[in-house]
Amino acid sequence: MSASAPRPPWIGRVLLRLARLGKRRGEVESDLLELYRARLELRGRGYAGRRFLSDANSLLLNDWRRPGPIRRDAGRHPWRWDEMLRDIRFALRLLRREAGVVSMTVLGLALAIGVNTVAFSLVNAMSLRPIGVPEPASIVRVLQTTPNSVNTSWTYREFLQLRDRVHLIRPEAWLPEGATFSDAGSTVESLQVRFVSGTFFQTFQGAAAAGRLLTSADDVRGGMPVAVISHAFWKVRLGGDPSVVGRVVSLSGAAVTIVGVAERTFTGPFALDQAPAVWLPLANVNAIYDYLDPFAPVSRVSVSVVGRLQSGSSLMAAQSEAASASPTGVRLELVSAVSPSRLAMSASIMAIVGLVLLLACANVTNLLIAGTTLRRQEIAARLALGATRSRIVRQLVTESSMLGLLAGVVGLAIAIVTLPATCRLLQVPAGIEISPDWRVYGFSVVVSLVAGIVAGLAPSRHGVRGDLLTSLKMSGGHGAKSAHPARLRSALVGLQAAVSVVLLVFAALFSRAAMQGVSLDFGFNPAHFASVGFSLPADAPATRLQDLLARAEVRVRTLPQVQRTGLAAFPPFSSAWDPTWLRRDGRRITVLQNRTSASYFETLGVTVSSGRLYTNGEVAQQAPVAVISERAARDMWGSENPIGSTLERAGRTSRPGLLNLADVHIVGVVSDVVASRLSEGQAGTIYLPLQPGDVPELVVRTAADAASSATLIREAVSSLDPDARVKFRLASDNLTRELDGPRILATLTGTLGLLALGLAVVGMFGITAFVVSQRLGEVSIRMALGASGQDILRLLIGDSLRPVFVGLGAGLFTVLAGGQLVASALYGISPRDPWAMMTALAVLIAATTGAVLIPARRAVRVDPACVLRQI
Amino acid sequence: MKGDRLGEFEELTLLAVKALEPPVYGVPIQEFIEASTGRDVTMGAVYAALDRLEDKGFVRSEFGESTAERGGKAKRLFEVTPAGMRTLRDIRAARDRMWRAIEER
Repeated sequence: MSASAPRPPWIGRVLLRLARLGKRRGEVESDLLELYRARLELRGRGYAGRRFLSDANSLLLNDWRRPGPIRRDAGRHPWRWDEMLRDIRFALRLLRREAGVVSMTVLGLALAIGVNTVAFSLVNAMSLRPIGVPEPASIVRVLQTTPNSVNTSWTYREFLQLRDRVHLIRPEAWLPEGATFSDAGSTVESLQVRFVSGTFFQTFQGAAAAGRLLTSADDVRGGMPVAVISHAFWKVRLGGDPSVVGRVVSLSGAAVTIVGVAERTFTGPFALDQAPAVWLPLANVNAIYDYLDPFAPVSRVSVSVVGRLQSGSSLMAAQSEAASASPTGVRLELVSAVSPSRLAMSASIMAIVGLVLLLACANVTNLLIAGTTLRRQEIAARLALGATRSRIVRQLVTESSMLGLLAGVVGLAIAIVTLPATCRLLQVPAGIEISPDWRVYGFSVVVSLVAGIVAGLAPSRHGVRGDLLTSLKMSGGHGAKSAHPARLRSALVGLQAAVSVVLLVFAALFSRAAMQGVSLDFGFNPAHFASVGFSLPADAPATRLQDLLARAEVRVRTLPQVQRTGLAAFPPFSSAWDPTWLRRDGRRITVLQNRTSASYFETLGVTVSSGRLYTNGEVAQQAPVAVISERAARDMWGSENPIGSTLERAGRTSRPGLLNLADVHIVGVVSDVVASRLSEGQAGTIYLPLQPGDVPELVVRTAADAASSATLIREAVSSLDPDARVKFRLASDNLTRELDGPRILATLTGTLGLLALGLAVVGMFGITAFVVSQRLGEVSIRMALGASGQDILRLLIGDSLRPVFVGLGAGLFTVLAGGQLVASALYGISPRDPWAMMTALAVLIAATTGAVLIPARRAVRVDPACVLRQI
Repeated sequence: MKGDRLGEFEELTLLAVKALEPPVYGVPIQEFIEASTGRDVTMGAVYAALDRLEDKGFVRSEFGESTAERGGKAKRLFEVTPAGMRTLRDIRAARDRMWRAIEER
């Protein structure tokens, strides 16, 4: 056969390989090939391929279609091809016969497999794929050590020194930042960008998918910065547009030229959920963030260092070399491909979705138990005719595996369709490649098969057990009850109810938290507040900012909608508040610290409850005075009067230049506001006059919605200083972002909870329908003896709902015991919130009662005489 | 005829072997049946029929020389035996009698 000769379709060749042809293989194969070529020439490829396939199939089926002596060796070849084919056909026939229940069950299983596949895709992308550089085993994190601590951050100078002096590792520096990307009208916010040293891509052996990567020549000060974007960002957000190379885009307001796209597999030596979307040269960082200057004498830039061990050098040798080249000690840590904490998180996610899968499996098991109970006669007949028990089990497991695979195909489709939406909902960073890989496909196949087989094993064991004769003699399913499957069924129903109630209670809690967050009493109306900040070049003197802020305040106050303005280091919901630990009577108390101008209180609408506020004069002199919130006063002084007291900082006394709180006297107590973060909404606040190191922002209160005045305010402050970059923000923006947390959790648990509820309802319906049909005889006798429809209904519903109530109890207990775990994500809602519990319970009881009532009523409507005649 | 009845497909196969220029092998037999009857015929069916015909003694086969065009694989060449020929004639005689009866009505 020459290499260029046309080849028949591979499926056909595989089938032919499977056929048992013995000595005649050579002859048969060349015959088929000859035919294939002749047909190819006469009728074309499609026809020839189709005919080749049917020929190969006919040969495959030949060896068992031909009548021969009865085979006695079935036990020795447990998985015969022909038997399996027959089993599959039989299974398909049975499945078609009970299409309604089967499709509900398969759909449930498919949804569960879909959810699991989505969860696994995310887990796979986040924590299972190895880090995205070639030869990851030689990547090390380079850490500074002191006698007391290990530090990940280096100054840029220290890094340069290290790089010049070591030879056993090649260190590279990186600096993470968040940026807003905009290009031709489209904007992507909070994008992860990394500033990296010039030889980063060479050291980590990156390759470009388009354009070029960064080199040392790019890593110099001045000029327009260049950038490399990640493959995932390019494909997902920029549509894989090849013209992107060479384009000038805006990154947080600065013009940047894209010079290349990194290869798909290269995401840098970082954890995968921190894979950046954009790489830029480190020396250029001040072109985008002018307050960050790596070369300034006292630089605010601190970089992380990661390196590659040169081949042949040991970790210990490299570590001691690096230590001698650095002012501090150095520790090298191998970057392991999979971090344990991430694995633990992934495991808990998979445990929760796995629970849902378990519920779906429970439904399949129930369906099959019902099936085998009804099919006892068929099974008994097969056993009597000489089938071995293992043969029967194989038949039943084939059936359930078919169910599993069917559901798996649908589930995988569901997963692929819903994955992008899930990523948007979870705000997965744009740098991550989430599309399914072989692991995901393998996972769904294995999960479907295991689900099918596990669901099928219990009922098939039940099916082949027991005594042949009675089964054969029975005319129907009546009375074929054994205690075992009934108990198993109840346990499964209870489990479904328990899991549903846990998920639904959490969903209710998170939705309540999301709603509560919106209507929370902040002490002011966030919609009426905005803040304006300025960033100036790093070498600008502090007075320039003060002057700029003062001029901005004057300009903004003249605007028609603006009511009040003030200055604060942390404007409302700026998300950067300082938690401070204070000591009082030996107790440690957490308060939030803000530094403000005197007018800030009036601007926010904070009222004085005792004492006084600090004055403009005191702010100008940075006098050692403080104002505390009522909550802080209560936390630390109880009913005592705090005015005139001083404060004591708890724990280590921190950074140099920080205000010494011991000198500070409290001059007043003011009303509580929630202006930091929702999750810390209940903490007390301490206000101090603005300090020298602060970069305050202008807080603006407007008469109506601040969003409507946004353009006016922006315009008013934009032309004040040509070098300044303006940051304008609405207080409600950050608030909304923060509320996303519980909203996302509510959506997730709600979806899972509804899915679990749906599974439970389908399961309950199926089981009750089956049990009712089994008990028709009994029901008829009761009715014949005078029981009313009401009595029968009560009996059937009571029996069916008993395991549900047990499950509900267990579920509620779990929620009460484990609720504290989620307390931090609930703002202003107790994890034992009665409303959430009642809602979840009511929904569950209503749904399951409905699921039981419909089949139970069918039993009552049956004519007892009719049934009794059949028995 | 006794137990050595022919199925319809076996009869077609036997006729094909006879009709073609001897010695013949699987591919031309399949093509001939397909061309004469106008229906798709699988090689599996052809091999099975040839095997049964050989079991019954109506055809015999021998391996021919291997040829380069078939990758050095030998063909099995079939030939109708006298017993096979006799059976074909018997069948034809029976059919002819019946057709004559139909036509003389």
